[in-house]
Amino acid sequence: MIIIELLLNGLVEGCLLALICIGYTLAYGVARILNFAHADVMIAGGGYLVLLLIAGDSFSTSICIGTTGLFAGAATIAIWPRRKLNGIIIWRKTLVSITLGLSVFFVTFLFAGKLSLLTATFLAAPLTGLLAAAIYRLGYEPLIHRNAPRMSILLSALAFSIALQSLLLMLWGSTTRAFLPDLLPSWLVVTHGEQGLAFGQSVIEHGLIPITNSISLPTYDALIILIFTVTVLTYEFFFRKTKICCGIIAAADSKIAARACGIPVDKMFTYAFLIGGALASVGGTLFVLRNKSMNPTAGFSVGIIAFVACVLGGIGNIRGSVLGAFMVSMILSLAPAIPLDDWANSHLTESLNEWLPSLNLGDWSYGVIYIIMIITVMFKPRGLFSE
Amino acid sequence: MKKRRLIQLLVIGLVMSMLFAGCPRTESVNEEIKIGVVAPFDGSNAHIGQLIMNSVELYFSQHQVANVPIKIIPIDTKSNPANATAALQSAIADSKLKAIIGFYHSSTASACKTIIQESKIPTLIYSASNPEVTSNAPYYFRLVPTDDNQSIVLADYAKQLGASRIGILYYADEYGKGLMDGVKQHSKEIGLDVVDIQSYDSSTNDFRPILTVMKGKQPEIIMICGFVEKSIAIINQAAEKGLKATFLCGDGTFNEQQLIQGTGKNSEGVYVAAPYVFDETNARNRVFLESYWKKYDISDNPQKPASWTVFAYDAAGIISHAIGDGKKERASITEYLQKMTSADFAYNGITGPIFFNENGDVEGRTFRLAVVKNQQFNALAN
Repeated sequence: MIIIELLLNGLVEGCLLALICIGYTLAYGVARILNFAHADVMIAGGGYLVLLLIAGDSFSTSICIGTTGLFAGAATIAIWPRRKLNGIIIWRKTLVSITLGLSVFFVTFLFAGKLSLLTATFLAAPLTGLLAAAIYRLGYEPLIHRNAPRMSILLSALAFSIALQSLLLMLWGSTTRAFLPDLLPSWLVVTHGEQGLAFGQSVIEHGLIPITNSISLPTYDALIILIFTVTVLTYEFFFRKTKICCGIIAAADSKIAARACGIPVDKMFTYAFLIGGALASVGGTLFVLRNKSMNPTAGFSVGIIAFVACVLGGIGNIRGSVLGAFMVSMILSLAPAIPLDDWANSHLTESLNEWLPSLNLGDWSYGVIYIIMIITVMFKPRGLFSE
Repeated sequence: MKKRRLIQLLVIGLVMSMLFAGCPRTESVNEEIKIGVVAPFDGSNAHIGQLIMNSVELYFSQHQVANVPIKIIPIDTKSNPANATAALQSAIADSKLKAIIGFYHSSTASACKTIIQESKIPTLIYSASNPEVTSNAPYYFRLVPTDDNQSIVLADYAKQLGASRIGILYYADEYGKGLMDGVKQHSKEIGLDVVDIQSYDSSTNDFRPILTVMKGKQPEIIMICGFVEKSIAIINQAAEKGLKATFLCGDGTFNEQQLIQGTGKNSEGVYVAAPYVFDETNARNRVFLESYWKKYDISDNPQKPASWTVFAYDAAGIISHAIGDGKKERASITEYLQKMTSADFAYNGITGPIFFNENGDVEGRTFRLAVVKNQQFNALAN
């Protein structure tokens, strides 16, 4: 029974991780950038959603102004016109980007704290996408244009990650903000009632989907699986056939050839970051929903582990990195259940047990993941599922 | 032309140096004394550093120290031993730094041990409770009881609650591991069955796997040896999992404001150990709380600051008494502290009389337990 619960947990965590991995992989596959700032964009997105939901409560007005200002500025930068266009168009486009920035500022400032979860997600996702695009426009595009060495781009990515994290720390403070369930509809809040309730009642009143007598899945976990599936299916069957995606793929294949065919390469790269950022926002929303708390520094550890998952599965390859994410989350989830320490306690002498380090694999789960990654990279340098 | 410029510059330089030569040298009797406050001021625990700084500043804003100008220097650990040693190295190079009030995390206190012993700066510890911290460290003086005491208090209370099966979750650092070892050992001695031990660290956000495994082993009590942010997540996720065990938490979790705000109803009935629990019937406690709230928390429903703030306040008090006694050098302040060995030489702080044993640990103190009832910490009788 425990194994089923752990597998389910691994599946849900895998969905969350995979949403982040897709963003990493898009940035790497398209622009060859290891976008370290991605996980911080995710946390920014999750935090922004919390802001939209509970502004005025534990988020004071100054925090609201700061955060909406950040997103408004990002929106302006993201669609700021590039230089090469002729005078009149630049003027018009500049006006459009400033208007967008201002409207983002006023709309979110006016509606903060008055939105439902669904509308807030729909508002936060594109805006977080714009934040990711703005980071691309500011941090990577100028470097790519000047033919900067890979190392500079990598360091720029790291710098943006740390800068964004510090900015969020400044805006929100370092306390872990709790996201208490009274903001959510009752079907998303887990409460424990009596045993043996009807399916519908259990889902609607207690937020639990009964699977067997003793195991039930929280509705938000089911929601995470659902949203992930919908996102990936949309990407695979719909988005891949659109003009933008074809452009992104062409630009990724060969910048020069794509440019020769009249594809605006810079624009396509920006789109790739925008999509990655929007997915990260969905990931961040679900991350907050599942963990019920939000901390500006939480992105770092999530980002590293997502990055490892990408390398394991094959960075630059969406299917591979999604599978890598599931592998990593399954290892993290199952490791504490492997009864190596029980075996040691019953089979080894007490003095040997005292001398040995903890044999609980849960204590070593990250080590296990990294060892698997090293071995994988030794034999398949492009990742397990590379094509 | 160039030569002329050079001469001009030389003349200006000469005049300037003559001007400054006339100034009185600053080495007067009341030379400024700097006191370092070591805490995390940046990163995920920045709010804790702020609390510590608040209470040290509160002390010096209330008390004038024998006309000696005092300057408080923040030394930022960023919650991380490597950063702590680096920040400390550059801070102690300043010879005006005469004493340190320090260390939230035991891991940072241990990492900085050698540096502090070598530079001979008297250091008053307000939070780091791992017993190893003060061993072989003549310049460390600790105001809080150690984890040796805490693990006994926790395990004994678990037995008092009638439990026989306990599980331990610990944060994988010096504090968590040390406390876990202590609790494990003492539990075995008093006949409790430790059914499962699991660890987590700063990158753990999903505690469901370890909670699921633990649930399978059916402990009646789960001890959390870790810090409050993660304890909040553990308590919330355990409630969702339907785990029916009672939680007993180490003092890392003792932060009323954060715990209650973060867990809401889920924290009802959670026990937390603390080196000190505020008692509002005590006049000194009330004065401290009121002045603290007046300066830093003017909301309608002010929260009691976490217990190490009051230890930092007392540490500031001890240092300022030493300075007031004419001890203005690192060595003489250390001597003053080393003489505080019995109740006769004790400093009477908010937390009561403070004096140290030969190890530099505070004497006559013990951890206490508080239970969350009606969204508030209620101290249990000793």
